[in-house]
Amino acid sequence: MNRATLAPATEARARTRTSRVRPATAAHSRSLLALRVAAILVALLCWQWAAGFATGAFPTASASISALWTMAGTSAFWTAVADTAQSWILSLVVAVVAGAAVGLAVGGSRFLTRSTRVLFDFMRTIPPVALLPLVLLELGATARSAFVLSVFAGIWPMVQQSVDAAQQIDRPLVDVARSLRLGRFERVRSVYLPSATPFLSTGVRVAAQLCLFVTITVELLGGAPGLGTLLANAESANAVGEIGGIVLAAGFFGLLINTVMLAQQRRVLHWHPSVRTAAS
Amino acid sequence: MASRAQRAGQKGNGVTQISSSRDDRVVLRAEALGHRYGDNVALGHIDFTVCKGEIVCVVGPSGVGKTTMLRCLAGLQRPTSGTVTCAGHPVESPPKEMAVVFQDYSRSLMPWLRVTANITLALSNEKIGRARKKEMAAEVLATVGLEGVGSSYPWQLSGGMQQRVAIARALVGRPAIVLMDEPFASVDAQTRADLEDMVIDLRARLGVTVLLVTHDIDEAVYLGDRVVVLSGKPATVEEIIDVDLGEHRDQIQTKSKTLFAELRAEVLKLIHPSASDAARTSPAP
Amino acid sequence: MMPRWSRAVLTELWLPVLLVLLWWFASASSTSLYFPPLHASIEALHRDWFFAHFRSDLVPSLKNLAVGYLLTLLIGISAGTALGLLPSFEEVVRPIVEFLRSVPGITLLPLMVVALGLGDSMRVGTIVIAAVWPTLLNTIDGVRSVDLVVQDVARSLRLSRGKRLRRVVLPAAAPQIFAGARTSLSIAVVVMVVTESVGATGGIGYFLLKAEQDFDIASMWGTIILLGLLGYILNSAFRAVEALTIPWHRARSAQGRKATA
Repeated sequence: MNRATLAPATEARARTRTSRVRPATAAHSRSLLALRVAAILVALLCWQWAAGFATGAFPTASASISALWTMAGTSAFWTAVADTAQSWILSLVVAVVAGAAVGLAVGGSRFLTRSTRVLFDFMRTIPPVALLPLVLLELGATARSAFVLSVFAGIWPMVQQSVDAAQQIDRPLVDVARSLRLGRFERVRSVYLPSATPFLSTGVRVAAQLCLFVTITVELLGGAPGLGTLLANAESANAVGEIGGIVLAAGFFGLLINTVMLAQQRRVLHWHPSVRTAAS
Repeated sequence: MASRAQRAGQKGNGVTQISSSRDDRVVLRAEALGHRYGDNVALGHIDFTVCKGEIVCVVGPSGVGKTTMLRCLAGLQRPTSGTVTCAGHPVESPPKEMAVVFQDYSRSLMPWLRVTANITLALSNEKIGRARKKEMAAEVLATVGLEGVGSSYPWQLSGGMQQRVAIARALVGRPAIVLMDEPFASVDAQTRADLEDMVIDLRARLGVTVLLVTHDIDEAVYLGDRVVVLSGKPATVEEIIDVDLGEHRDQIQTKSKTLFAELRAEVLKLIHPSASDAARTSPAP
Repeated sequence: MMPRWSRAVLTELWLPVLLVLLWWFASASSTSLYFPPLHASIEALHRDWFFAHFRSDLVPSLKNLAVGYLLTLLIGISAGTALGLLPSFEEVVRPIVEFLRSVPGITLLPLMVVALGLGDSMRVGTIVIAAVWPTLLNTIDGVRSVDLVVQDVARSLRLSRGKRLRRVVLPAAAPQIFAGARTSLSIAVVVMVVTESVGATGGIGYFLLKAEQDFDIASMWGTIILLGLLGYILNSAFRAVEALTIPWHRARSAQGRKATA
């Protein structure tokens, strides 16, 4: 399975060593900023214009932005954001730690890896939303439901990436570790773990997105407290502008998460070919 | 033309003449070394020794099995037949007295560790203080001509410099013998010349013992005190040739000597019999 | 000595088979609400899906999935190629793309309902809008990372733009595009199920929901098994297509196959 291509090079959008990039001068970044702002304005205008066709049924850009602005002044909004954030981060931490533990342990053995492949593949295809009614029945429309389903969703990609991480160790490095007669601890610390980090960090990123998705789904369809519930309320009240505003809010939240994760990943993987800039 | 090499050379199993009188000076010995993958016999019957302070070059065409042989010698692979002995002990796993320089420096240096950390990794089993380890790393970096490079990352350095770091890592533990697997195959000719001279210099200054595997005949004759010629399917020792070019070699002078050309031709003939119609020596049993 | 391929199959199957057997026997006399006997679930699977609801629920779902996924590929690959070939433009619109793909797909569901109603077009639209991003981003990256040397070769062979795109750039980007397409496929399946829990009158997701609401847990498990089988079949089909389309990639990464830790 070529999951290696999910590795940082994809998401990190490497300053590709394969394209002729213009030198980054101050003037260049200023004009780039200006162009980007212009592009955003154009996009907003297009949105406004397109939504006009739906005669009030579809939120316009202006309605969404103003609704968001208003909501940002209410405490109910920020409580919802905090609820979603809390659910998300708790489930992510559990999914990552448990997933990495299981995945690395399994990945260390060729036999275990092959034995569990079908099982993990199957578990990954179960849509968490399929279990939603059952979980709601057991745990009610609470943050706990969101937590449980979110962990279930996020753990499988983490397991998969961890297995890949443990399996894909560069042959020369194994030789070097052996010929240097490194002890077990040193081998893990200096060789295996660092070389596993690209995959692990991709796993964390994918798990983060999935956990957010499922958390909000449980809120939207199940009523657990958070942004999703706000959205459901706006939907039933047919408050079109608010729907747009909440979507924007969710978008910003997701963007924040992605940006922070990417920056962290860049820092941890500063030595990886997809991140480092020095030619050799 | 009967070359001096042919008269002085030893066929296949002819290590007896030298080693019996200098057993205590034998650092590495391969006896009847052979390896097969299933039905495919990669290595036939390999015998040779390396004595203290020698530079022995193993040369052979690409694909003959040089890397397999090196991995067996380095303890990375258990040969299916024969034995390898290093400093008197049989080799079953990478021995303490041996260090290896791999061919692909970009993949044998840890990209997440700085140069100094890469080098001190070789000392992780030693009970030496951290400060002392850093000192040793700095010393050995100076020895290979890379002062002040310790805080860089390997990928920030040129290919030649990276290979020097790999060599420094091999030297820091003061091994009895250094095995090099086609170490200069991936660098340009000029850098290769510099690195070759560095190996000779290291032997002169530190008395390092080296076993160097290469496909480059010029390099083998230039560097080696003895050249082990590997050839055939399965790979066996065709001949072990003495190189009487003296301890001090020079890229220009040594390579313009007649003896150099003769030895070179000799090795070439052994590897590519069709390259000339002069009589070949028969292969070792 | 067992032939290699049968050993491989055995290694991959012993655990699943064992687990299924354990599940079967452990639940055989179960009266628990959530874990009815496995044979009941299998019966439900057989009864419901082969072939009673095959026409009325399975096919419509698969149809939406197919249409949605193909649109996803179409949009993702063409837009991705365009953006990949125009790096300056891509740089300018990048913040917009980053924002759009950060929006959790599920939040767009109400918008889609408002815009497209509760029918098939809503389902297809939601699938596309949620699943397009991995394909799009991977295509951009794949196209941009085509080795400069390969590009120079193509140009010195005086290949026309179109030829270069078809014969050089896209094949070079193919492995990465496939990786993105695979992620998009799993997202598409999940979204398909989610969209059917809203105002649907048919489909796998709808059937699943109804089973759970009616407390027909055996049917629920049967449908989950069906989804698992579906996922497995789709993944295998995907792998087959990938092997046929980019056989060289598999061979090359096999060459560099690394040892285990």
